[in-house]
Amino acid sequence: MNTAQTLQRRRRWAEFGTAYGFLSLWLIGLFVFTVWPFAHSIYLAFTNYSFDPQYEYVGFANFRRAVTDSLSLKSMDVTARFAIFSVPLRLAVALFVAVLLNKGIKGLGVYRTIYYIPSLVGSGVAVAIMWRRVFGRRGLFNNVIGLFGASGQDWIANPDTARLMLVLLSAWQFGSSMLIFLAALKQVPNEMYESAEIDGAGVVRQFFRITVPLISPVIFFNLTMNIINAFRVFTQAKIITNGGPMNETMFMVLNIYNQAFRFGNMGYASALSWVLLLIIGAVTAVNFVGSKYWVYYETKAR
Amino acid sequence: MIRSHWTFRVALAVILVLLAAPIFGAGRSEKAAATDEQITLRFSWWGGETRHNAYQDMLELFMERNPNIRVEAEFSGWDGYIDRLRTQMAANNQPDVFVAGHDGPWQVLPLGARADIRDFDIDLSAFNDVQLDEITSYDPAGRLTGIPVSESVRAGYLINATLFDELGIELPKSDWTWEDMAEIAQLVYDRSGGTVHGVLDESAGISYGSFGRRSWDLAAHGAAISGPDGLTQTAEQLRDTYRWWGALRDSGAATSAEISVQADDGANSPIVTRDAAMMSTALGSYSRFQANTPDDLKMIAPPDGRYPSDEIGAGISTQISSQSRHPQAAAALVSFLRNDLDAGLIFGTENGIPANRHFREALIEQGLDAGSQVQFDVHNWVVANREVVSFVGPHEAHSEFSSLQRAEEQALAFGRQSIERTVEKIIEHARNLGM
Repeated sequence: MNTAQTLQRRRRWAEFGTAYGFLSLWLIGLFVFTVWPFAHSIYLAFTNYSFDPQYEYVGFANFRRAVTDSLSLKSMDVTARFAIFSVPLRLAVALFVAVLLNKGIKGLGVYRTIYYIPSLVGSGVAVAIMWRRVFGRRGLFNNVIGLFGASGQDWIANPDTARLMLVLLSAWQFGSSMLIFLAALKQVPNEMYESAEIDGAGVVRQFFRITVPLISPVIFFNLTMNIINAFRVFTQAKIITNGGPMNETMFMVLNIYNQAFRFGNMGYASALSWVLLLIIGAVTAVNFVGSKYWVYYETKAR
Repeated sequence: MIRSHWTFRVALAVILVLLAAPIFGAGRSEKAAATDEQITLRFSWWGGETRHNAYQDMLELFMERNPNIRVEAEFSGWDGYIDRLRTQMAANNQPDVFVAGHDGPWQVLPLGARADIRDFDIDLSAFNDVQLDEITSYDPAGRLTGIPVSESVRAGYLINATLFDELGIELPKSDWTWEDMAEIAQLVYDRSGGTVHGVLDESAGISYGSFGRRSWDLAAHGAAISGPDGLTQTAEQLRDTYRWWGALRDSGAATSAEISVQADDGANSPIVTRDAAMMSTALGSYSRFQANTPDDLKMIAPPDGRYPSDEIGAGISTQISSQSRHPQAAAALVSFLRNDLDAGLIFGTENGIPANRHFREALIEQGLDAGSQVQFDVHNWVVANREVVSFVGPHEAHSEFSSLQRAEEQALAFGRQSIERTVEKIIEHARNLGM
């Protein structure tokens, strides 16, 4: 090895060292607070650990319970239904508002900020409590419909409408998806709309034939992220309904929390977490496979 | 090349300084503790706003008298309090001092997490020996793992006296029966034109600890729904409970399912929202309910009442963590909270009638407020008139079972399943949990 090669190698190691030196604090955090608990949960999933130092290996018993227990199956059903209704609704609202804001209206920055506020505060406890107040029996919503002579109900406490209220809350938090759509819409060349208009295409046709295909990679991105987030819903259900009534809002993460910290079934809760991860992974994989039929990338020929 | 080495060295130095900072910080902290310069304790309790305010006033006084001790308050509502304490204990990270019970749902907390009060210089002369013995009996090693907070009957029935007055209905007497309650509840519903239910439905899977349901179970069937060995009641007894309460619900005497499942023990309780005129709760919660409504609330003992012994004994206590790094300071705090007269007068009857007899005497001497008078009246009446039955602890899966039972009862209350199916499913859940 000649001197030039030695110097080059040293320089490369010095650069690596500098990079990892600066990264090391974050890396320590990653390994201690994410990677280690993540790996340890695999181990716990095969035990009956319940905060007691004495625990045993139980094989796949926790996983068998996860796919046969009535509450676990209920929580999967509830979470899937929530995702099916909340994700399209949220994306539709976000895209609709983004299209409106893309019309070059005055004060765009103000509107953008106003619509983004619910996303900033939306996952918080205060908003969840507010939602409970708005849709409770004596809440704002019932007062408003009362003005028109309609009589309301407790929309949160009723098993037929409780989950719908959480879907609406999720849709209300469309701000971050809306901002991403807005950025994508600004990238669509105006000439395309002008040409289409000259050719006689209406607004709706332009939207579905130009806008949607050109922003389809962003729709796909938003869809994927929103599906993942829908499967992770927790705070709203914990604060607003606490899983009830009749377990109609017992989402998977809330069930995992209850099993771990209320009932002390930490091993079982770990297994449920891995089942949730597998479900999210499978849904995302299906989403990716399906995307080749509807997502248009300018760099690729279809 | 030179710049690269220089950057690497700076990065390394920064990382080392940052990594070393907590180590040196910890060193200073230990030194401070050893010299009594500055100690920080953590203290946790649960309750409502009035109890939080009282405890914080007490802590301010304590810190004023002990300038070297800072107390960090960790307080919350009842929901999730035991779960959090249990998780903290599993991680040996429980607060230095905490308020907790010993029996019933508290049995999930490991005994080893609490220190022996007798290891510290705390005066126990003002406390009832029977209560201290009761707490000692919970620990197989015979340790005294807490100082009792109250000496109080724990369950009572809140009555909205303003509503009763508006409807022209006489207030129930302490020696009432469940049949009396059903009649009065129906009268409330009828006289209010269907706008106010008589009583909160205790069979509808309500979301907080149901003292009324336990009283009903003891009166009707002689036992709670489950015990340490599993399900205690028969299918027919369960059916009987749901038939009795279901009849009240159907006639409007008891709250509808929507009201019942949303009921909590604070601002959303039906007695505060005027959806119901009567509901059960803990005696020590009286002030919280009264603070939430301009209506005049009264409290009497639950109907018929056999009293489970755990609702008449030591109940909860103030405990010291066995993992505390500052056990002597923690003991000083506990002693202040439960022995200092100024602290006792601030706290009043926030958690029931004080266990310390000097506190009780001082409260009576200075004149009881309306809320405290209510508690003393119920307590004295129960002690003189009720049969106390010994309490049996819950099954280890009680918490999980209760959650499942609640969902089934809610389905019944909403008319989604029959009594027969509800009972079948409850028994099935119990069986699946090994009860």
